[in-house]
Amino acid sequence: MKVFVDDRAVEVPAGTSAMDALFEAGRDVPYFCSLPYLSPIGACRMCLVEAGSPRRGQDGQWILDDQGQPKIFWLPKPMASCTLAASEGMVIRTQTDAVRKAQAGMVEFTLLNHPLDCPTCDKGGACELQDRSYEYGYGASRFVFDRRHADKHYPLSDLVVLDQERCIHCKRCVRYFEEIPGQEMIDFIERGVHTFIDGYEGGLPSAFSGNIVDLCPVGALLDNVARFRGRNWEYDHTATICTGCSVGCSVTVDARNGRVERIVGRDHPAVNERWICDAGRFSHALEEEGRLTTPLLRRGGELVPASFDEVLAYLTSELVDVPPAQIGLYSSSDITLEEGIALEATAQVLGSGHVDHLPRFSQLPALPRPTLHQLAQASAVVIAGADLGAEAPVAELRIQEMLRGAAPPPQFRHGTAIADLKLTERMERHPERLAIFSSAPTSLDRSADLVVRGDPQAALSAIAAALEGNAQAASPYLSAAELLRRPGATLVVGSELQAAGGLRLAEKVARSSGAALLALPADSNALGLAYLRLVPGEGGAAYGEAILPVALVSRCRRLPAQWPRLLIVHDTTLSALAARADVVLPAVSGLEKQGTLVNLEGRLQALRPAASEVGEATDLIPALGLLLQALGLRSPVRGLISAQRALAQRFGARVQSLPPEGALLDLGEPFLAETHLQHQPEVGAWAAAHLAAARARAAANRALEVAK
Amino acid sequence: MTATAPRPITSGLDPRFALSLYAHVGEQGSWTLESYRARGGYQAARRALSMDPDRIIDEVKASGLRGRGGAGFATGLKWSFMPLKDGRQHYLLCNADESEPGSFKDRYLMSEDPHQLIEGMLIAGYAMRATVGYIYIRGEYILAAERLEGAISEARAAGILGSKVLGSDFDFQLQVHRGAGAYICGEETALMNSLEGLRANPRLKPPFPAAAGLYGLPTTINNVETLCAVTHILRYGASWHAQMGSGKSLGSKLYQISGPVHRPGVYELPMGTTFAELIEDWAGGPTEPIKAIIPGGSSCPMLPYQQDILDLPMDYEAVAAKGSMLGTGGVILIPQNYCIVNATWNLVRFYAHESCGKCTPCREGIAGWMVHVYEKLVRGQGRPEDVDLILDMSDNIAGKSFCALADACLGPVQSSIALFREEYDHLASTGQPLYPRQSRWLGGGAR
Ligand SMILES: Cc1cc2nc3c(=O)[nH]c(=O)nc-3n(C[C@H](O)[C@H](O)[C@H](O)COP(=O)(O)O)c2cc1C
Ligand code: SF4
Ligand code: SF4
Ligand code: FES
Repeated sequence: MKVFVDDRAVEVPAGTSAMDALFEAGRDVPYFCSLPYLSPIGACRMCLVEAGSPRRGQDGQWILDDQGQPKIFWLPKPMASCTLAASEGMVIRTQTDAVRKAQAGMVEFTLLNHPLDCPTCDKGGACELQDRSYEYGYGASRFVFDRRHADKHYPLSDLVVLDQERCIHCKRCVRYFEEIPGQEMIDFIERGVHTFIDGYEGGLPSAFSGNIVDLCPVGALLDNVARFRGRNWEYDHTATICTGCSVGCSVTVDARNGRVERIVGRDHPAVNERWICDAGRFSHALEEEGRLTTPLLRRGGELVPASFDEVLAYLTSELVDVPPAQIGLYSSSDITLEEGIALEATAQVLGSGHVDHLPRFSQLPALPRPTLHQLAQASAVVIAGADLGAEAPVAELRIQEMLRGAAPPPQFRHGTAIADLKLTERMERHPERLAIFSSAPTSLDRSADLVVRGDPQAALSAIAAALEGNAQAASPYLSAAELLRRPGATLVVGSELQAAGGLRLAEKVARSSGAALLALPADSNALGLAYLRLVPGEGGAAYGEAILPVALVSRCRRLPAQWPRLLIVHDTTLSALAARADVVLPAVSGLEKQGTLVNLEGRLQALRPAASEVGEATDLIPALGLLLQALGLRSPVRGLISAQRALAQRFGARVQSLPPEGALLDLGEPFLAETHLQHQPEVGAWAAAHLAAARARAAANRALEVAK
Repeated sequence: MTATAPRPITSGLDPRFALSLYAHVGEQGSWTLESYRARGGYQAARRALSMDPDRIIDEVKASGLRGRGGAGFATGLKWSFMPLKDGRQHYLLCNADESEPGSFKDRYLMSEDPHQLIEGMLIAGYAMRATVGYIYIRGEYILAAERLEGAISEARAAGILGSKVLGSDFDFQLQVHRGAGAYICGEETALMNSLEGLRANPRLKPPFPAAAGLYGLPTTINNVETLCAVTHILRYGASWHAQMGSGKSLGSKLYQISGPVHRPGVYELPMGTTFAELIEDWAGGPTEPIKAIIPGGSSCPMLPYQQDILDLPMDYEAVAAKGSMLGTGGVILIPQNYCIVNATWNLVRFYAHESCGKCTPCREGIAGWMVHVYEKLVRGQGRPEDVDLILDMSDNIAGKSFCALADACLGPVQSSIALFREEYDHLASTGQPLYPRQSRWLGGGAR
């Protein structure tokens, strides 16, 4: 439908809010309470406009004015554009004196009780209230009374601190918890001008609590880990991808003086919308702890710092008699495609079949995978042997979205709809659309009507039988089968099922029910690496399966069953494995890498290195180069550029020039092999460790603050 | 009706006028089922239950009844917004939160004659296919709540509530819910939130309650007096109701009068009765000189106490034409020698205290700022520019808040400045009120 904004005309779909229509037209109104993905509520009253619409007469024709144009019936009051539905022929005015005065007056009201904390507030420089006051305010206040006082250092949890005085009552945080993870944690207390935000005892028991820091328009909710660590203009911002799990959420990593201080969520409408999980958000604390910045070499039984030259000399002399084909190469599955193709090339140069990555797929269903967008719009979801909270947390949020029937919001030239009128507070959830079969409790159990504890593989067999018509009446398996038969249903299987080798069965169930199948990768790039030849070749040994003369192991924390005679470890910290190595090469973490990852949908996304100080740490490619150099060999993949060239040859040119949203590419046929190593994601443990480190950093911050 | 329609009844002194709503208020035991039945109670419900529900809505439409909760919205039209045959649960809510200063009519309807409300709700519930009703009653109305509870249990025991009401196929469950002391709970959507156990903040409209109300289901909400009037409409007929009143304001109405008059209280009068009749003939006239009249509860703009206003019929259109509202019909008189700034501050304090805090102009503008400016003025610490500040602030609030509460506060503020600017200016520039404060209880006043 056509809508007129000031002097411009735009075409917008029916159901668009006046706010999105006017942004689409390139106009601007200030707003505090609206936020993409949250329900519009019309609370801040900043986004006022004048609006009117033509009307149709009894004959169905537009009522015309003196000039023969459709007569505009103006609404008697200024309207909050966020909660006003645009309609055919609507006229919206954003630039009149009345609108300007209304907006300036509202800025004045909003600022009345807002403390003058800007010089010491972590939000300063990135504060919506500062910006909007500057753009739309009077520039002066006529308020001569004492401001409202409330608690300024109120820890909502170890990780999030609340300043009740700074709150402008936009309700974003309250709505976020209710609407996105579906966990009500905080609300307003008291009323009128005394209204303040509070939680209940026990902190914020949600795995997604940190998002409220990103969405608070002011400095009322702050990241306790980053507290007072830097001003917004001092940070180096790096737009990259979280490598915590296979969802691959878009994030911005903020570093100052070479140290990562915080990670914030970044909008990716198709992947994480704008949310990230706490484990990913606060992962930098642990990632930066105990970092190796130089190589280490075992001398006299001790690992001591050494230069790369010394390492090279050492390896050159140690490897003289070692047949290259006997050298093992093993890596974790969070390495980039670039590192992966370098690993593959190195194995080829060595002529070694002793190569593997872990954890990994041992089977991969030959079915198209659903995207996260499709998951969020699924008609029903059956989860077997997966704990999304531990394996792919933000995918859990997309399932919550599907349970609310909150179809992904429309996209405009200005981005995701700011005020999507389809969303409302307290939308009805549909737990009947979700069924979970797993042996241990999972984070989504609270949202499902059907939860069955037990062996997921046995459950899938029973569902398969039900699909073939062999079920006893009214069993949970029959119900699950019926859910899967709904057009647009999805079956999600994770580590527990895959560890038991249940993917074939899952594939069978998906095929016979017509459901889509999402097999969760066990690590951030486990899916991408499956398309490189990184599994044991002819006669090759999997990790720890044979006693090899030499093995290079990157970022792998598991101890092998069989130890190589000479162990080279490439890692960020002195892990238990590294502590027993002969050579330790310092590695960069996922926050510091450049390269490409493939998320659980098959989306290729680019990693960019944050501005952190990492000493001599490198990614895997130079570590492999060092090994080859010691052997006097040379790989065609020796650096990022040659790696990308190789990838482009393999997968098509787009790998080198990914658009900001990444790309869903067909990667061809996977390379698969059985593995005796359990397909076991480490995300759960990963999250616990990372959050513990973040809490420690927050406590240290707090101690500093108290000491001041 | 005859070809020459009789002159409508627009005065309580018209011999054709008879009390209906308040006919039995004050009688000993009037709240019991026995008393109610003795005077023909539940006949209207019996008649209604034998009718096609749609005909009831037609009858209410024909009666010209308009909502008595303040806005005067046509009741029959509102009922017809309900999706009538959608098979979902429908709710009927009775708004008994009566918290607006100057309004105190519903209270006695409930404490003195609760069965006529129950009967009205039965009829309304049947008409709208609502099998569950709630009476959301102001928490302070303890006696009224007790009498209602008592009446409901009597009615249940007598087969008037519950399943198969009065032997028909209609089921109707009715419950009383007591509020916890917030004026905003009278706003219909905040009331629904409160009833659901949520914070009493108003909800976004649309969707309107008939589409998505209590628990997201079709809901109609009416004021106590509106629902009681339905009982009499079904008993005596739409034309009986429509013969009272003037223009588009029909029926019998409970007017309230407070302030310095000889007999303040609630008076049932036909709509269209003049202010003069209420004040002089019924309330016995003022006890001291009056300067302003608030025609319908504290949110309605003040009007000057002068003849053309006193001669106005108390109907929705006539009062609106003078720039105010009939509201709930709660008339408040403000004495000549009472400082208008202080009087208005009293009302601003009320609204500031009752702001729910959801939207910025009301929370910050009224509760956070305006009330302080008033206090400053009344304490003699004002400055001349403060009066314009209040006006400008009012302009920045007017029509911009989420619900009507903020505008309700501006009613007395803007009108009192418009009418009595010199009092404001005097106080703001000298620090002294034109009418100094005096005790009205200890002989200091003109009593
Ligand atoms: C702030 C506010 C307070 C209100 N309080 C009451 C009240 O106490 N009682 C009432 O009947 N209506 C009250 N209303 C009006 C109701 O929202 C609603 O219009 C009314 O209950 C509808 O009933 P009616 O159609 O029978 O008039 C209030 C409205 C507002 C905005
Ligand atoms: S704490 Fe922040 S996000 Fe929450 S209501 Fe206040 S200003 Fe809004
Ligand atoms: S005007 Fe705003 S703050 Fe005031 S009561 Fe209504 S919604 Fe609440
Ligand atoms: S009222 Fe807050 S953005 Fe519209």
